[in-house]
Formats: sequence, structure tokens, C-alpha cells
Amino acid sequence: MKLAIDAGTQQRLEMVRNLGSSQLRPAGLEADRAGHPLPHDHTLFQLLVKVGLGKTRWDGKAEAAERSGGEAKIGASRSLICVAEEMSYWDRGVAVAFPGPGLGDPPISGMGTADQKRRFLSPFLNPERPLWGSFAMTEPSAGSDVAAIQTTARPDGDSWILNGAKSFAAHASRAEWIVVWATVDKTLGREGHRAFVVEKGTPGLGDFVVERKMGLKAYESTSFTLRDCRVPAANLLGGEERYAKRAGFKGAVKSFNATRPLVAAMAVGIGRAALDEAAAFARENDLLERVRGRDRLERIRRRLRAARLLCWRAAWLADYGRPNILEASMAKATAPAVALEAASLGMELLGEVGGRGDHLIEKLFRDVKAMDIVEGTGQIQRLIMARQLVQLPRD
Amino acid sequence: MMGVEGPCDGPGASPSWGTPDIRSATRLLEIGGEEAMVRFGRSVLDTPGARAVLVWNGDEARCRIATGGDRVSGALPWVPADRVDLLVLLDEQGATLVRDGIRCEPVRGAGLRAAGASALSLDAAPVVATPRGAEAATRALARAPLHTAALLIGIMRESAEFSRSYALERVAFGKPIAHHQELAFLIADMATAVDASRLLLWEAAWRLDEAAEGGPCSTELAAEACATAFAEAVEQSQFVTPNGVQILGGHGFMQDYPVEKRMREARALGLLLGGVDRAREEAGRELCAWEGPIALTVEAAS
Repeated sequence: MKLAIDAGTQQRLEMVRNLGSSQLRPAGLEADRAGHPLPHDHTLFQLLVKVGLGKTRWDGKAEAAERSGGEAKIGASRSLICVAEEMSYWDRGVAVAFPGPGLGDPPISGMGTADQKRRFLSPFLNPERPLWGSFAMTEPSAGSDVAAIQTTARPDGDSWILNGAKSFAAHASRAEWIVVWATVDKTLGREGHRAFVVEKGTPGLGDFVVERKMGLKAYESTSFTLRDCRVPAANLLGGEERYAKRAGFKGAVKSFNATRPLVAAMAVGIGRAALDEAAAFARENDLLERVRGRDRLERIRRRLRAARLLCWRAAWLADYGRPNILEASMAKATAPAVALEAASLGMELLGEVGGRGDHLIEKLFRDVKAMDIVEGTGQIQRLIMARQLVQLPRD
Repeated sequence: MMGVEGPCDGPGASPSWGTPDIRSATRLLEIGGEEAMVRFGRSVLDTPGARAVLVWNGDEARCRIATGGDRVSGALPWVPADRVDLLVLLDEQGATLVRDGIRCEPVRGAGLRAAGASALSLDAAPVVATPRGAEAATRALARAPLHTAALLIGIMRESAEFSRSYALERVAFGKPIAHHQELAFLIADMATAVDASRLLLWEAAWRLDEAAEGGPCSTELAAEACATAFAEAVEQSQFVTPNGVQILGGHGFMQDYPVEKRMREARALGLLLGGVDRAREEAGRELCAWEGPIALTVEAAS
């Protein structure tokens, strides 16, 4: 694994640093103080679209491009996680609030028919205004246990009827469409899952509630319901043929994971911000001479460095298509806890200044807790690791 | 005395800034005795909504209020109070009492918002009394973190108990999440953290009572135990309360559930009275004074 960062990634990081200090962090603080998400017409979003962000990763072509021969590297996870870490350093909430298809992009570009990609992702090729997509899997009674989702999909002529409730879906109330996961048969677990693109304004899609969160207030996490929501059959991602082909096929279990190291790297970014703020405070208040303060800073830096390297290792393995399930979960289990400790120790260094409730470290303390919950809780990651390390049987 | 009267250990504990019991207030403020409480504390206790606030003033990096003359000036970034009718600045030699000239500027507060949150500033505020006495100051410095530790333990208890109940109801992968080992063990560890912290607190309180009644425990040993109980309560609260959020998953991060509030409150409480640094310094100083084997608990007098 190479430890140096390539020139292309360095350039991207520099761009993020400029954007972060001038726009992202101030916007994050603005949302935190207001206690609600940045409105959809915030000037930041218009700026982001203007500089070319908010786009889909889909290349606009009906068929996926063939990989050029002889190139061992298949991905760019290492570069992506460096950028994700830097974005989160400035404000992770705002980074998630960015316009774009978001988590809806991978299922549509990965599973969708050519027509579906065209219909749902073309608006994001060169958007002229901020647009959002959304992704809804989690339900009030199904978080970690994804197989247990209760939202149902029933065929009806040339449509499907969806009924259920979803929670914590980012951007759901402002999205052009939501990729909604539903089940055609609850007894089948994941085999019964289908993904539908439910477009904005579809009758039966509603009851949007933007949740009040502890932190990461810049983006909306939204609950909604589907009540006899009629969705055209043409919006079943991949169409019936996709599921017919897959029926009875267990398929290869995916041996590498790129999203866990990504989210872990975001936690490292938040922790790094806490470290820098704590060190700056200590410097400004002549606390660096105190051994206890220095000990805190040393511990935070040491653990963050290790956490970052765990993320890099997992991403590097993914980039070369090598198995990284253990390493990805290790990174995800470690980084959020380290980052929380960084923010918490940072608060101790602040003393009563932390108690005021208006210091950046206090915000980071509230922001970072979510990172041990999203994209698989720390407990789920340990379960995955245990299955890898000691062949822990499934219940 | 931090404007807190009466026990606060219990579910949903935010400090109950209620009224009056001169005896209980006296137990908290050792420095001036009952006479000082009648002279300075009575008006606070008798005025609805009035607040007295105690501040550790032994670290100029944290509390920049210079004492020593008949007036005080300086600033304090945060106290959990919306008004201050009596300010008690405590250091290792005694206290400085101020009643007038205290300016409170509201701040948001990281937690404990029911108590209010203010930044304090004093500009040549007149000093009404400066009771002195190293031993009394030691006892006062012991009682204040003891009380705060009790608040922390109440918060931890509530966080642990709420999340345990939630985990018994919430079903995932075919059974209550409490029955999955990783959470079962975590719940067990949280319960242990609460109980161990509480036992340290009780032992420290017993030591203080023994010291006051001439029992087998000196004031120094009692003060060390109180500092230790505070340090442990703060540390364990940083284990328990974030895990209270963790057990609830996404729900824990939402403000509809009380666990995120407990996490913020615990963090804020642990910053008061010099925080863990002062507590560790106090406990460490006593520890280093031992010659020979270090006793963990107090031997009863034969």
C-alpha cells in the first residue's frame, strides 16, 4: 500500500480545503445554530452546481464502458476516501447536504435499465439548478435488520402499489425521486426485495417529517409514508427480467466493500477537526505546557492516525478488487469511536468554554455520534469481523 | 452550593434548582458555616428564582477572575444558570463571595439548559466576604464535585436504563436486540459502570461524613475520594451516555428520544469545577503522598 497521496488527489484536496473554509464550515455552523437543514434554495447549493458539483457518476452512456486491459486497479476508493475525509473535516453535514442523486445514484446506475438511467439520471448529468435524489431503505422497525423491511409492493396491472413507512432518508422531501426498497414477499427476506423509483408528487407519497437531530443538522433526515402509492412498472429498477434472472441464484457474495471505509474516513475527518480546534485552543490559552493537555492531544492524534491508516488499507484493497470485508469493518468499527473520543477530550480541554454550546468542538461532539450508527453500527461491524476471524455462526 | 438544593439522583435528573433548606445548603458550603449561610445565603434561599453559583477559581486558564482585594474583575465563559444572585469563588485557601455587579450574558449552553446558561463578567464587583481556611476549603472543594458526581450518576442511570428497556423491546434479526451478545455485553458493561461509579460516590460521601465527625478518615483522604469519585463519574459518563445513544441506533440520534440529551448533559457537567484535570490532580497529589502500600479503602479505627 502506498502511503503518499497522488498529485490528482492532492489537487482535489486543495479544492476541498478552499471550499471548506470559505463555504462548507460556515454553512454547517449556520444550519446548526438555526436548528434545521439548509433550505433547498440556499446560495451554497447554487454555487456548488455552478462549479460543477451535484452530478451523477453515470457517464450518460447506455452501456457501461469496458475496462481497459492490463490495468490491475479497478477503483479509486483511496482517492475518494481522502476527499471524503477532507469534506467531513470542514463539515460532514454540509457534505451530505450537497445536491446530486446521492445514494440513489449507485442502484440506478448499477441496476437500472438504459431507459431508467436516462429518465432518472440524465437531469443530473449537467444540472442547471440544484437537484436531489434520495434513497430509502431504513424503516421505523428495520434498521440494522434490513431483511425485515415491512414496506410492501403489490403488482396491479401495469403498476405496483406500495404501502409502508420509511425513516431517516436524506433529502426525501426535496428530492426529484426516491429509490424506495419494498418487499414483494416478507417471508423471502432479501430475496423478496425490489427497488422502485418513486417520483416527486406521486399520489400516496407523503407525510414527510424532517427529523430534529442531535447534530449533522445541515441535511434533512426525513420520514415519510407510502399509502397505496401507485408506481409505474417501468419504475421497478432493472425491470422484472432482472429479478427473473436472479431467481434461485445465490450469486457470489461480494468480497469487498468500499462504502464502510468511506464513512469511516468521514469520521476521521470530524476527529481531525476536533484535534485541530483543540490544539488551537490550547495554543491560544497557553495550555500546551500542561502535561495533561499534551497527553490528550497526543492520544487523539495517535488514534486518529491509526484510524486513517485502517481506512486507507481497506480502500486500497477494494481498489485492487481484493477481499477486504474484515478490514472494511475494522475501519468502520474503529474510526467513529476514535473521533468521538477526540471531540470529547477536546471538550475537556476547552473546559467551561465547551459548556457555552457555541464552540465548533461542541458541534463536532454532537455531529460525530451518528458515524457509529450509519452504514452499519459499530456492533454490526464487530459481528462481521467475528464471522471473519472466528467463523462466528449466524443465529 | 451551586444553586442546587436537595438530591438530584434520579431519572431525568437535571439539577433541581429548588428552594431552601439551610441545613442542606450548609452541608454543601463548608467554608463559612451556618452564620455565613444565614448572612449571605438566606436572601437567595428566600427569593423565588434566585440562584447561587459556586465556581472553582483555582485555575486562571479556566476562570479568569482575579481575587485578593475588595473588588473582583474578570470573566467566566459559562455557568449553568440564567442569573447569579450570589457568586462563590472557591480556591484552595478559601472563598470570595460576590453579590452585586455580576453581569450575565445568555449563551446557548451545550446542555443543562433547564438551568439556564450564561457567560459571566465582573467589573470591579464588590466583595462581600472572604471566608478563609484551608481545611474548610478542602471540605467545600470535596463536596462540590461529590454533588456533581451524583448528578452524573443519575444521568448515567437514566441513560443506561432507558436504553436497556428499549433494547428489550426493539426486535431485529428475530429477537430483541438486547439478546444479541454484542449489545447484551455492552448493556452489562454500562450497568457495571453506573454501579461502580455510584459505589465510589457513596464511599466518598461516607468518608466525608466520617471526617466531619472525627472518624477514622481525615479530610485529606475524604477529599481524595471525592475527587476520585468525580473523575470516575466523568470518565464513565463518557462511556455510558454515548452508548445510550448507540443502543437506540438512528432513533438515539433524534431529539425525540432523551438519550442524546443525556449525552450532552453528561459532557457539560464533567466540565465544571475544574473538570477531570483538577480532580486527577487532587487525587494524584494525595496518592503520591503515600509511603508504603497504598490503601484502597479506609481501615476502621481499632
